[in-house]
Amino acid sequence: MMSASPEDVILDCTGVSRSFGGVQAVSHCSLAVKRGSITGLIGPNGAGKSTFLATIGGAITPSAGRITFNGNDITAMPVHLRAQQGLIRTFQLGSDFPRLTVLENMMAACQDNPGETIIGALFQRRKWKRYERDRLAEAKELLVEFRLDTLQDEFAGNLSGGQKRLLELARAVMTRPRLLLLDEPTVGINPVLRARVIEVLLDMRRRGVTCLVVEHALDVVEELCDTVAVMVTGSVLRMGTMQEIQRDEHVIAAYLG
Amino acid sequence: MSFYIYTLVIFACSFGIASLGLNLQYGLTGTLNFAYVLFFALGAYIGGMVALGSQNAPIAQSLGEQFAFGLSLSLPYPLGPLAAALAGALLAAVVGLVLKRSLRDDFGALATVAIFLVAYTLAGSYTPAVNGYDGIAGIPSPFGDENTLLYVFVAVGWLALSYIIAAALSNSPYGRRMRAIREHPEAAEALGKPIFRTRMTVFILSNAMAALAGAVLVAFVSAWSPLSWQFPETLVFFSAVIVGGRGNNLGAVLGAMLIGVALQQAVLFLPAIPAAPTLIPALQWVITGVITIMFLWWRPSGLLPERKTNWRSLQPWSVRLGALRLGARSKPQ
Repeated sequence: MMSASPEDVILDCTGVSRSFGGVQAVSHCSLAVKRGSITGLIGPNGAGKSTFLATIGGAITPSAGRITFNGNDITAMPVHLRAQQGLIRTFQLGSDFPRLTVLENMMAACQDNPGETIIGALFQRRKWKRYERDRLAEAKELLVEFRLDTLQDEFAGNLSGGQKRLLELARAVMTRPRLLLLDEPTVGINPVLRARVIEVLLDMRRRGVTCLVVEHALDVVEELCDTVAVMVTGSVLRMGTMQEIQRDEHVIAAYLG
Repeated sequence: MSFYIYTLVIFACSFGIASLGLNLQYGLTGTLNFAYVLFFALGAYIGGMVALGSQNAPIAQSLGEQFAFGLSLSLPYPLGPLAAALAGALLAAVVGLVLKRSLRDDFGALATVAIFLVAYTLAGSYTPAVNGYDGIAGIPSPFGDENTLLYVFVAVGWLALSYIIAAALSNSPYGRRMRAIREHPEAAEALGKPIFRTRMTVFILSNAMAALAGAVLVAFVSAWSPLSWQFPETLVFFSAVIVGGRGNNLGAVLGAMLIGVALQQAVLFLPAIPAAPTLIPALQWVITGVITIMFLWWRPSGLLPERKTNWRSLQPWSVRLGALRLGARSKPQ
């Protein structure tokens, strides 16, 4: 068992439950994510991984349980306020803004833009222009990192599926997150770029960003995650390193086969 | 002749302001509001009733006792349009709260149709409010009947002011947020954008613009009744925004001039058909509908498509001009 002090835990879920009709998608699910870790969430289809991730992101409200982020109870907090605190989720399907350019997509991720209020937009033009100049440089650097720099003025809707995934990831980084919730970040990306995504995520951990990743590709999980949680029928069955998980007979019986 | 031109200019200004407002809420933010002309009409009623009074117009004096709950204020000019914009904002806040979080959903769009029909029927049937289907009349010209040209300039001024506000907003980070919410509300929310608050703010601002547009028009046409704001009028504004180019402010103004003014006038030049005298005026709706559908099919981005951000505009003018000069100097080498 892990013994983490409260300051080490960025996200703490206890007894989270959620059902749809008669289906108990998530039931009494508990999970503690350590600050600065990349935690993998694996499990068979229908285990409730995406629903659980959605309750953490705020898109779905749990019917029972408690979620704390950075020590604050966020169980009932609206999605956009969670995001403003640095809890950012990505989607399983593309979530680009199709008729915004790649660079506009990036700039839309800024969290404290002084030009994003009516008053600021109209009367503090110099202030937000200065802010945007700084963030624009940052956005362009990120696009280089993600190999999207040549497409910066293209509409996001014209990108390929893999490029959209990369853009979504780059956009999430642009928010300067504290905890990233990633739903299958490497699906639909070619092997070269997949390695690039893994590199970027590992680099983000070095910069202090925590990640919680739902992933089916176990080789990616092995390469990326320092801790793995196995979810089966709505709750976390086991948690540990990949080696520990692969040896655990309950996990083998329920998932790895 | 000059009066005819004044008429066209003022209609163009009024419809231009309304199209700019609809472009903010529909073109940029993606909110579907089929009660849009209700806000335009409210502005016309308020603008007219604030100006109506005993001193200015003898007809109004006799009428004034019968409608608007006896309201007869006779206030000086800029108060009419200002009160109208305020009333539009208030009604938008109420309607927005009723629709609550469904400002974008299909249900929300249907609800706006219902709200329009309820309001239209009430305005027509409950005479103490706005004198029913007879409407209000005798609204005094803001600067007197002999100073129509001055009022034309004032109307152009209202249009210019609306354009400056709409353009400044849509080219700012706030405009980018509006477009992001239009494109993918859930993703925008997950990036920290408060979608309900943003839609609501834009809804209030843009419907206030619709009300202002109504007040600008009514001060010139001097009468207003439910016949002037039937349901198809909303579609004229939607058509103007679609034809002009969703998300483009210049496009919205251009669309208002083409669909709201030029098309309406062009239809009047068609030869009358004796067997069906009402056909020609009705053709305006038919042609508007057909043009809108054609644009949605073949050119959905409109005549002037939404523009990509010009990142160079973030640089201060000194830098931009400096770059120009440097460019000029370096070319010969």
